[in-house]
Amino acid sequence: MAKKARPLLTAWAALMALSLVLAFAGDVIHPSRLGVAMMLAVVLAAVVKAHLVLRSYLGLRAAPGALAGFTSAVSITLAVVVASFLIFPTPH
Amino acid sequence: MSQVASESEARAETAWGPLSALPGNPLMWVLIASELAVFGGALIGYSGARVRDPAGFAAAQDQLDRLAGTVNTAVLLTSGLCAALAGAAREVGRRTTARLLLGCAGALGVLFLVVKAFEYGHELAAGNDIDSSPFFTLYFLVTGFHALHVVLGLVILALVARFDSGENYETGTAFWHMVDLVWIVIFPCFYLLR
Repeated sequence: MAKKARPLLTAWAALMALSLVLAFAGDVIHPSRLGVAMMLAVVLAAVVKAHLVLRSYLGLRAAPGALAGFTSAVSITLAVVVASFLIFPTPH
Repeated sequence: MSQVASESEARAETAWGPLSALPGNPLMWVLIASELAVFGGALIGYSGARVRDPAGFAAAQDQLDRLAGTVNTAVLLTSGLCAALAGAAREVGRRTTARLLLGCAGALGVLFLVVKAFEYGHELAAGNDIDSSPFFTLYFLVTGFHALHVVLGLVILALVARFDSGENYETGTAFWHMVDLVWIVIFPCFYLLR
């Protein structure tokens, strides 16, 4: 059990750390607009989180093709959304 | 008899093709792929709708409680950890521990819904309902649909705790992790990107 639990706990710690990165990059306290770098950081952190959930929680570590496919689907969705924010930015 | 059983298993694996390599019931993976496609389509629709009125979307979005959304992310990720640990406990035959961990996952799922209800209450009290703006229409539809999945996930976790075969654990917790995964994608789109 301990052997199986360790990678899950490591993944959870990484997910929580990435959530803090997301909260910082997304400036959850202030209603200010985000710069390009912060928007890209938000999306990158979200993609890595999704990859970790797919690999560790959903057990796709053993199926690398499926892991790559699902991660790509999430990445493409988030890329389209962030691209729309970059092409049509919020006016200040 | 065992040869018949193994032949039957081999036939089933061939029938599911590449899905056979995935943990749990292959049909759950079909569901997970479908759900990701539905939510992904909704988020791309959201970005398309925003293009018509970026300023209006930003003004509406600023009324969301981003801190509550962040707290809910941590709650759901921790719930996912409990569900994954429950599966690991079941695999080594620790059924009581597995059930307790499943109970923790469910309790955190309920906490997620409580925080979400608190958020909805604030938004409705501020006059933002499903008809008040295109942003709030999409926000309530997508996050509400996700919350419905959390409710369904709670029912599935309860069923897994009652009928606790190894495959049920794999399949039931996979649904719960899918709910987690969808929130990871929804959260930055509705709350953070602006």
